[in-house]
Amino acid sequence: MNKENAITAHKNKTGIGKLVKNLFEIIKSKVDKNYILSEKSPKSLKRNKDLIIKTIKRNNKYLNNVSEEILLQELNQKDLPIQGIINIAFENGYILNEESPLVLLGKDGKKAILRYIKIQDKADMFNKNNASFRIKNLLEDLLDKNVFTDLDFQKELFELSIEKGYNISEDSPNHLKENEILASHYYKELIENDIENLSKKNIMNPQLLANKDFLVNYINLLREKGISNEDIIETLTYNEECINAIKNNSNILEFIFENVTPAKLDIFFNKFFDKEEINGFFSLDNITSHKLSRLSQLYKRDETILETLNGNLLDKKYDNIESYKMQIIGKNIHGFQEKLLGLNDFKYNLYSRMSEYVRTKTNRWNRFEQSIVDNLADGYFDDLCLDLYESAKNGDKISQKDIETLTFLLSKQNNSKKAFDEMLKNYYTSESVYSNNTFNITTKIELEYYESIKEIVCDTVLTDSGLEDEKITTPINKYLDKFRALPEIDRVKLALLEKYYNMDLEEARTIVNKFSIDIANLPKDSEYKESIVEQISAIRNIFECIDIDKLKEIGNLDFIVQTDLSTTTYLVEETKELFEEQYKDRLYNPKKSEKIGEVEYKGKKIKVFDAGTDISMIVKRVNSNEKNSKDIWNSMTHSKGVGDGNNLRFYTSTSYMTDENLLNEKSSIKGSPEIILGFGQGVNGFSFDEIEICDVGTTFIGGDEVFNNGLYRGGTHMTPDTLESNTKGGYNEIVINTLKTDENGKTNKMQPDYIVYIMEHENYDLEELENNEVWLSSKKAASEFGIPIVVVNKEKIRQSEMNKIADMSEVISYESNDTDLRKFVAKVEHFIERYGDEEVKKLVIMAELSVYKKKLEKTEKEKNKDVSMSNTKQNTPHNRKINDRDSIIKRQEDLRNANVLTGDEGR
Amino acid sequence: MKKLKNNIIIDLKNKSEYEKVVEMGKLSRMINNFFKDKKTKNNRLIINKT
Repeated sequence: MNKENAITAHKNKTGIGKLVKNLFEIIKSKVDKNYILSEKSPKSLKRNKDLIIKTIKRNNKYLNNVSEEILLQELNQKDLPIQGIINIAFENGYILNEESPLVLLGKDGKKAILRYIKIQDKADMFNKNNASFRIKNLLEDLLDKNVFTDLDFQKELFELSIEKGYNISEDSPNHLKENEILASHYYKELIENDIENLSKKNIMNPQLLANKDFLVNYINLLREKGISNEDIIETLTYNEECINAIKNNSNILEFIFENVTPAKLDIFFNKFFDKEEINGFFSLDNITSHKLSRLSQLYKRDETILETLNGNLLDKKYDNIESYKMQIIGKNIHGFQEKLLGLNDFKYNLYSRMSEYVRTKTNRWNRFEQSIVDNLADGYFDDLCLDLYESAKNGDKISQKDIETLTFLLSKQNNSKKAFDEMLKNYYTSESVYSNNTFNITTKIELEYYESIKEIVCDTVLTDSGLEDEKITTPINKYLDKFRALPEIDRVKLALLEKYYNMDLEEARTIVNKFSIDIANLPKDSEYKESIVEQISAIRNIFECIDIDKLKEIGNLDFIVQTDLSTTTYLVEETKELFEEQYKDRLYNPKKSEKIGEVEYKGKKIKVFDAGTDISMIVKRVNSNEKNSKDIWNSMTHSKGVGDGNNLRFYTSTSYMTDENLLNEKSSIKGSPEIILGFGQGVNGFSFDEIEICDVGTTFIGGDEVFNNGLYRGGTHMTPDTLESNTKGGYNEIVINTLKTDENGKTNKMQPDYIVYIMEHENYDLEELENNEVWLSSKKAASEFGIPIVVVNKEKIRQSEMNKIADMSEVISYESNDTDLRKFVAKVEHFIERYGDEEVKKLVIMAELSVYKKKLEKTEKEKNKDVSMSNTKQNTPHNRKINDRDSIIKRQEDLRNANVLTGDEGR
Repeated sequence: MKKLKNNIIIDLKNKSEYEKVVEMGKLSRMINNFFKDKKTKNNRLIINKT
């Protein structure tokens, strides 16, 4: 057999063998119920759909062996046949992979997948074989398949899956959790049905964070459920991966900050950055988002803004607030910020216009704005604001004149309506007495005619203080509420105070209590100072007067004062400054001649001075620890709560220390030594807002209220001599607002001029002090501040005080005037407090001291007897002037013609 | 606005803070003069209250 024949014979033999084998397989398939297709199966069997399905049910991978022709027959149908090969393969757990037929991995395969999902029934969720379960398997198996690069397909696939009841879970593969559609659906279900487990079941990841569309929807979903921005941020930063993703992508960070701005800024930034990184972040020039840009500007002025500014104030709405102002507002934690944020759009607009007006009038803007915001937020002008709103809505726009009058009214000291409602019901007999809307101005037209109303009401009260003449009182009844509720003499006082000082009784009471005690002792060496003293005296005279006839005589002066901003607010500030001057002028400042040496701390040289005797210092005792004293002081840290003595407030409680009122023995807080900061020239420009003769715990009460206009603060302003003599319990309190904004808008904190070290012994050697922990802490603080140490020698001062007592006791007697007696008694008592009574007894007879004290107490009682503090009902007869009455009736007619009085006021 | 009364208006609206103080000082001096009469019961000076 040649080679060619041999090959043909072999082929024939193989063909026959194959035929036999095929035949055998066919017969086998007929008789063997368990027959399934295999490689050996003949082509004819491999085309048998039933056999294919049977095989796939046993081995889903057989789908890879099914011919493309058969698969295409199914794929080309409109719907994937339920009993078809592909569907059954998927249902039996077939996994698409590289070995899958090309037709299934390509365009037609995608169709098949979609069709497969489409024909799934939404079976009950407890059945493991339900549609959702099957889709889950399918989707999870699609991992890394090229189908995920086809975004349109992906979108369709996931939407369809969701439609069929599929939802990812926290255990789903990452590629599914990263998908916007699936994740959105997941969160929608979770937020709707199981929001309390949001933190446990959170699936947030860097890919979702980088997807702005997803974030917007996600944030909206949570917001609709009333979730706070802080809590939303918590969910976005629930693990390290998310935190790092935000930290490392400023776009994401800016987007989140812009859209879910937190109220507490420091908490937000501390999530991502340490202190240095925050500095770095805000020094970047590429911050483009609105809120962060604003914050960046503020941060560059004052890093502590993150601790105190409410992030909501970064909203566009507040852009009209200048940065220097926002910086101060940002320091006020509990009051101003919250009130400002609480104003509705209309009221905020009023505030903005009034603020602009105040800016043109005075640089004491914060004092006036505090009252304006207080009155808008919680005052007695809501009806007026509502009427202004309605009028504006109806086309009657609010004029600049309206704004000016409104500014005047609202810049007055606020009386909180809420406080009245909640606490003072039993104290005030009438809300109209309490209200600071003296003339009950509630409409726009009344605002326009404010001056006329004020004038006519005051004149009516001064003419008919009994308010019995119906002819003149009935038409203006609405404006007389407050007057009617008062005793007759107080009506007259109120009318006078309003007419001449634009001030109500409560404001007058504050002025009298706060300033009148020592007003006569202030120098009157300029017309300005004299004028202030005259004003305080006149207000006190009116307020305390018990003679109604005299008050009415004053009413006959026939002046009426019209002004732009609250007189009281101005007067409080101006008077405080006069008192402050008295202190500032005499504060100790080291002189070259008093230098006693130089010491070193960590290589830094520190000058040491001896203050000698007859000292006057503003001092602040603070805790010293390992931290840099200057940094602590300048951090402007706000109160962390009662009992935390380490935090220094913006309103800092200091003490006025003289020889007589030397601070007592050094003490320590929590085992750390205390040092004393001393202020000389450093206090210039900072306001003394409260003076107290003893410790009233100021730092724990209102220490952080930068905006506090001083009116609400207690205490009585007095001269240094008076404060020295009246100090109780070892030391007094001067509460200083330690923040000041300079001409560049930068906020500065008051800085100490020296560290005060109270030396117990007369003779000392600076080197010997090196074992003294207070001295060492004083050196540390002095080096950190870069200021000298001033030594106050307690023994020298004790001797000096003894000499003074000796001198005084020689001239003092029962006949001496009250001032001298009081000074003497105080000096002796203060001496005993510090050094005991042994030595003093040699100079002073204690029994005599008691007699002097009793005399002083008696004099005090006598003085108070003849003072009326506006509460006594007096029915003093008075002469009614007919001309005035006629004039009032005439003027009422004019107001009626102007539609201010409508004729139905007789209520 | 129409002036409605025989009162003399002291208009401080466009005055500086200094001018306001001085104007009010003048008015206050006039008021205090009413209290300089010894018969007035409250013409005390309060100094060094303990």
